[in-house]
Amino acid sequence: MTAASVLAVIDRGSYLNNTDFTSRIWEALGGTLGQVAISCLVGVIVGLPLGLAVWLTAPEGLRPGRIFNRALNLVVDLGRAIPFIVLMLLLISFTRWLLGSTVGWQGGIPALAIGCIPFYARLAENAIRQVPVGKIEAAQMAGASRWQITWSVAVREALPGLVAAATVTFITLIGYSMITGTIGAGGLGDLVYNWGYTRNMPDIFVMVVVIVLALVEAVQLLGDLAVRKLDHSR
Amino acid sequence: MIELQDLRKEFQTKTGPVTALDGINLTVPDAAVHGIVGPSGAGKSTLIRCLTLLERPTAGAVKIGGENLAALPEKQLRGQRRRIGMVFQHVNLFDSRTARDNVAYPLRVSGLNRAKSRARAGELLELVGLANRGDAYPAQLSGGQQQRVGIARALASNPSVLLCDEPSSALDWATTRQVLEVIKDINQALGLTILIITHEMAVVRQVCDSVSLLSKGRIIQSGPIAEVVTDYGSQLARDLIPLAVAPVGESRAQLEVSFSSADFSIRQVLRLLADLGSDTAIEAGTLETLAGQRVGRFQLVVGVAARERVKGQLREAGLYVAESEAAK
Repeated sequence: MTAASVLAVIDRGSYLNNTDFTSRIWEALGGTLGQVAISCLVGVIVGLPLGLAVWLTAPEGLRPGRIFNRALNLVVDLGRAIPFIVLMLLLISFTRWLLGSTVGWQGGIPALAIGCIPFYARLAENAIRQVPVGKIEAAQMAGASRWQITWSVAVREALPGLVAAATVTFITLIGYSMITGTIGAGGLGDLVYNWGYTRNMPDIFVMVVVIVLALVEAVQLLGDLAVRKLDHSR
Repeated sequence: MIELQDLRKEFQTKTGPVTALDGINLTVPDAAVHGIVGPSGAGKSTLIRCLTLLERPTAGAVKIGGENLAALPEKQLRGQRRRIGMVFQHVNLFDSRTARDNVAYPLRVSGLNRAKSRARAGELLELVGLANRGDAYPAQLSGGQQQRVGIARALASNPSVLLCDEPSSALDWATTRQVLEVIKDINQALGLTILIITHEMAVVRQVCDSVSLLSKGRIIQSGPIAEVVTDYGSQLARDLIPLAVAPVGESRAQLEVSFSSADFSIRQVLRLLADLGSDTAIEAGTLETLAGQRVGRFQLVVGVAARERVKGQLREAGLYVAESEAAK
């Protein structure tokens, strides 16, 4: 596969006539979107409380705890330090036990979701840290409990940032989900690897890049739109 | 009533402990408006943070209505804090909530239902003159309007004490006057005890009944406005009745005269000053009405030869005379 061969296919104009591509693209796209959406959801649902716990236990937090905070930070950083390919391979037997096999788009979810949790946790913690201390103090003076301050002030005021962080996470996951195709976990990655690469169909490479680009743009647009809708600070 | 008893605060820093508050004793009676002034770094912010227990004092008592908050554990403190309304320098409204929901917040967290909270918030917004801006987000309000929403929010839990931390330092003077007007109205309408931290003497002049000067963690002068302004020559008297200090020539001396309508007829004093002789000129003067009396402070430039005669003449009349710092 060379650049020349890619150009050669362009000349032949086989892009939308390639039945290996047209017959699989919708399922592959659905698979990738399913993987990413479910993983991102899990990442946010688990990552947000993890990020909040880091924020709460920080030395200047609402419930400082040095040892607990260090342990949480270590977990978050370790989770992000493990290369995705290593995490995916390590999780193959876990995935088999959980789902019965790694084949099919669902097979990519455990690795993606688990990799996503510490990633989103750190982004969420950063977003929440941007909430001015004065607002937290205003809530304390209003007699709010820690629980109330966390959810009704910290998370609520940071919501635009948290949504922006989820957008970044979603887009990053699209990239990683390609890799899961190599272990048979369906999606666009599977199409690229098992058809584009193995069967030497460069047009599939090009089309997938174009589709992913469109997907990324669409997600970013939606994310930005949501942030603008939620952000009342301007 | 606010009572501070021997309040101390030390901070541990890398270079050793730093004393921010060095034994503060202060009593603000019910329904009074008390100002705390002082240069930056004097401990004003630390004092207000210790008052709200956002910062735990190292020692001493913070009594609001007789209860020592400094002795309470965090859980009970939460309930007691509702007796203190706090107005912040940077307002600290919640950007994600409308003005009405900001004001309703203290009521919502206390468990009052949404409809009742919002109704009460509407009343409070009316009190600060923003009845028609309830649905606006903070970013859509001007600085003065934001601070008035902040005041309404501070009043929501029906506190007995209102603490204001530099409430006007981010505002221009016209807006400051409006905000202070609101604070004064609230003091009169609700009988709240109010403590205002400020670095602007104009704030003290406009709303305070009494004032304390904080310097290096200690209160170095304190009292009702009427008393401190007639403590001629004291720091607060000079700060409250400012004079533009002009440079003075070699062979001239600068004298300062202070007096109050409580002791003198202003007309007679002015006549006396005007008749001191051709070698004497009035360089600058301020006449203010403070705490129901007129207080004056005048700066005279006198030829060195006439200095002692003029001083004697003024003292004989019973006026306070001091040689200005600049002339010494």
